[in-house]
Amino acid sequence: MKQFMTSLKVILFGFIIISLTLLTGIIFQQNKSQKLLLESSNENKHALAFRYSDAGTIYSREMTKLAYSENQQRKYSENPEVARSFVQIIGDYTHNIGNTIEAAYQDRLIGSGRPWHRQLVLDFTGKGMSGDDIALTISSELNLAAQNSLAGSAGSVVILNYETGEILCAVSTPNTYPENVVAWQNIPTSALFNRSFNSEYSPGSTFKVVTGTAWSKSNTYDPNYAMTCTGREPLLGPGSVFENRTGGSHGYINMQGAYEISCNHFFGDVGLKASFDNMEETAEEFGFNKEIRLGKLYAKTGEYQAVEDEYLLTWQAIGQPIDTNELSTSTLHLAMLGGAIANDGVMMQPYLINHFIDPSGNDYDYTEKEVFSEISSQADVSSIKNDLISTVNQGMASNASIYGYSVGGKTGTAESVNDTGELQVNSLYTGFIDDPQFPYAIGIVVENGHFDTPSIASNLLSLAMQIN
Amino acid sequence: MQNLLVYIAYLTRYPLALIVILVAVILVWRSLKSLLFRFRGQSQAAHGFFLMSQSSEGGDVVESYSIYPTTILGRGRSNDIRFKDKNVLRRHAILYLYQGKWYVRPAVDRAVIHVNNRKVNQPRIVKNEDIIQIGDKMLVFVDERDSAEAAGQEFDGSIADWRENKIPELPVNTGFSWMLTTLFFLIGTFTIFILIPAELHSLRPFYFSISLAFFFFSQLGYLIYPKIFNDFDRVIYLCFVFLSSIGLIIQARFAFLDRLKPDDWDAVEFLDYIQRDYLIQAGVAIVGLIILPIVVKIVQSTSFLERIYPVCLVATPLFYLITLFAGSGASEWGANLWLRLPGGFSLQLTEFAKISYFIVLAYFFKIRPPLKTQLLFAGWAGMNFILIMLLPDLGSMMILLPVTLIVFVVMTSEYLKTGSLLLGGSFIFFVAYKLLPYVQNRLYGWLTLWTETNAYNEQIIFGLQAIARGGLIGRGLGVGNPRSIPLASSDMVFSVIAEEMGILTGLAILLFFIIIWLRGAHYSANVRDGFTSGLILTIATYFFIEAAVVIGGTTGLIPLTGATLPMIAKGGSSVIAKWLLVGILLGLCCRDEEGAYR
Repeated sequence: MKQFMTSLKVILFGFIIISLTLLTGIIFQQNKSQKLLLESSNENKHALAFRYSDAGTIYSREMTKLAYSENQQRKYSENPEVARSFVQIIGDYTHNIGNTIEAAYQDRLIGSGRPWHRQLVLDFTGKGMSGDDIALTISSELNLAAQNSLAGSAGSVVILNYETGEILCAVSTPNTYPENVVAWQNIPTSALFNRSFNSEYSPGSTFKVVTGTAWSKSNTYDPNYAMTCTGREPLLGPGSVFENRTGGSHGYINMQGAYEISCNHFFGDVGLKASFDNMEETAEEFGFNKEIRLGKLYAKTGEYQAVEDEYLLTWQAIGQPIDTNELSTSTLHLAMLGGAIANDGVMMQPYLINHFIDPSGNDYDYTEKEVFSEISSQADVSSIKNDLISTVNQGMASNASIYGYSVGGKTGTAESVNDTGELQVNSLYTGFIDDPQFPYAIGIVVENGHFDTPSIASNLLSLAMQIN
Repeated sequence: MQNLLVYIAYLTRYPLALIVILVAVILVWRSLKSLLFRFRGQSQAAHGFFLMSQSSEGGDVVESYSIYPTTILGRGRSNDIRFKDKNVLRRHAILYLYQGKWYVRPAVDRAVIHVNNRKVNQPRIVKNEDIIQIGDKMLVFVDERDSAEAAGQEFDGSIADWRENKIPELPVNTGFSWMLTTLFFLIGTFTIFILIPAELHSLRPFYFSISLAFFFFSQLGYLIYPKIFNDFDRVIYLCFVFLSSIGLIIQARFAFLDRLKPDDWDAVEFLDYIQRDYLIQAGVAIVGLIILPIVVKIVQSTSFLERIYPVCLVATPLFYLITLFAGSGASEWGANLWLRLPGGFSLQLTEFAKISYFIVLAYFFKIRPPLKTQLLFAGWAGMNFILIMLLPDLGSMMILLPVTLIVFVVMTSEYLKTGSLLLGGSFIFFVAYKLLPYVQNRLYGWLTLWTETNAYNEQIIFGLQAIARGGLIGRGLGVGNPRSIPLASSDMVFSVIAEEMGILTGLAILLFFIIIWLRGAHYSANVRDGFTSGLILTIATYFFIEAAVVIGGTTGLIPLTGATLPMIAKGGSSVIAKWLLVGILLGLCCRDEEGAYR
């Protein structure tokens, strides 16, 4: 009997432990599912159509409807081209594209993820069963213009407010109409991939912004430093960076001039002066190697891993990864990069949901601005900013200029291997308007060719100023 | 009007969630307190019985020993009665009470025991003044009542005589909880009733009648059975009725709401189908309630269960064998566990095999059996497990194995052996994993749950999505989206409940099974007969383990097994089998030991 009771007590103790584990486990799994599983694909499409038949509306910055439910049906923007320009961001009710507002914010749209006190009030005022509306920061007009500016090329554009982090424009091409996604037909290759937020490009010369900043932090920094560009002759000998432009060397050149003409020799040299550790540290201050989420959506910044090889570092310093060296950036990150320089070294957390609107018409849950990363105060960011403005005023990015405004920017071209294994050249751009009234930064990538990205930037930033 | 009704139905999620969690928390707290109280009072010996020790030559009495309904004697520290004698083995003898009679037998084969100078190899009845010799120890068995009667005196057993049920109890009041249970059923049923769409309005009287029948019989049980059966446990009954109420409400939701009429069916055919569908589901629950008092009476007043042990010994593997050769699958998701019967009915013999398995298990471990008997049982159970794996029925395996181990460890206190069996069980699962692709697939699906959606985990993912959507109090009955989940009304019913009635209801369901186990443990410690005690523990543990395995699988905490949530999931045979078990459990808990033993 004594043993029986002892054993029973042991089992009781075990059961209490199991029960508590199960009870907490259930709550944990629910919580985890709310964060990770709501957008999973392969669900029964009829069930999804039913679920979204009365879901909330998704609005653009101008409060035009991008997705809405009408007559028990889910519909997308009345302007099919606008709908196309948002397709990888808004997504579709069938969840054929993941990482979208429709999928990730499903709970809010169908009215199941609100704070309990708000839900209680709504329930007892007769509006609890309806979903919330979502107001985005993205302008449909700007998005449409950005889509047109890419003119059928594969690429992406992101414009953001560098003082707040609001994303004003995010377009990725190729894309397709939401109806095609729902029906799963006529979808061009890679049209569902969101290049704006999830791409990984070699940054090319846009990375020189990081290299220059890293050098400005080091003990060897001298704002008046100048060196002689030796053209096609490698900086340290065979295997190190060289100038692949035709027509000889850049001659004796300082940093401002080096930015204006994007001199590889100069930035290879100052990359070495900046040192490996400093380069990596500065890259991370610029958001490289950092996880980023846009609310519930996944996005990417860039990857950078300094190699302790001086020859390879000279290549990394100009934004060209060699062999297996990690060096990549996304279009969103390019905009953040330019924005951080314009914002005196403060990189803001980007966001694309401005606020939610409950069924009673109350706006709530406004996204508050927050800092994503900061460049060390040792860096001479203002000097880099001036150099980039000079690059637009009198350098290679002169087409980005906007009459009457101070504009800065840096172009880049980088070779990469495409999906079919062929070598291709991508054109990149990071830039900003240096104006407190229009604190906008832009990132552009156009794939497979030498494109005039500064002109695209100029047009889109001008339009952004007009709209706002 | 329809929109208003839908909205009223939507708002009922508040009272439903509040009631269910309130009842569960009240009962779990009271049951735990009652059990702990029972543990504290359980150290009392069997009053009116004791052993007296003499010197080996006879002579004067030197000591008396209290005895327990199961008393282990030996040299080891863990024995109830300990003798420091080199001729006494570490575990030497077992003295136990079974069906009103005291027995003694050797604890191990090499232990030598004499009763009245005759060597004992098998269990032998001992009576007043019998002399038991263990090693050099001479022990006189004393039955005070018989001694008093022989001396022409009256035995005073008033202090704490177990036969007069004087062991202190901490009663669990259920009146308020029952009122809430009733309210829950009425609100839930009303909600479904008003949500039945216009094209199915002709089925409303049918639904009302069925609900009324369930309400009547469940109320009858709560109010009348305690008057018919002494010590009828209202807590256990209430828990099962609450679970069954949730089951009936959610199954009515499946039957009447969101139904799509197949294009090639006419309206009458469609209505007949729905009516039949729900009738089977609700009908078995009502039949369960009707047969409940019969089962309770049989179990309470007779030794029927003990007598059918040999039948169960044969029937258990036979049921599995028949299913193995004649069974068919319910769908592409399930195992081949159904026997097709004429008239479109099906039977799941494996559900009844569980009952017979439990009877055999409890019978084997009614007293601490010698190694030979344990091995015999291991062989028999192993044969059943092999058949279960061949079916294949991973769910049953994952439930019966831990139930067996728990009953084994409690009834024998063989921790080392239990550990070895646990390792053996793990080895069986490892072998099953290596040999059976479906086990590999299930495990792969579970391991990739958070990283990818594939054919082996999409059922859990869709279930978890529903749980995520449900939040704390659910989206409201009929507002959820069960069509997105395969086997929503059976295997994945917990997800649908969590979506429409909230995670609070989900947690409360688990709490109800915990309460059942706590009450089971209470009675298992209370009763004096090993078989009764063992079977109570077996059934209570089974319900808890099955619920834990299903809820754990549905929520992705463990791999999904295909087992179904007791009393709630859709099923015919399984629901009837569960009600039979409920009847057996309730009957055992109020078993008339005095009547049976004397």
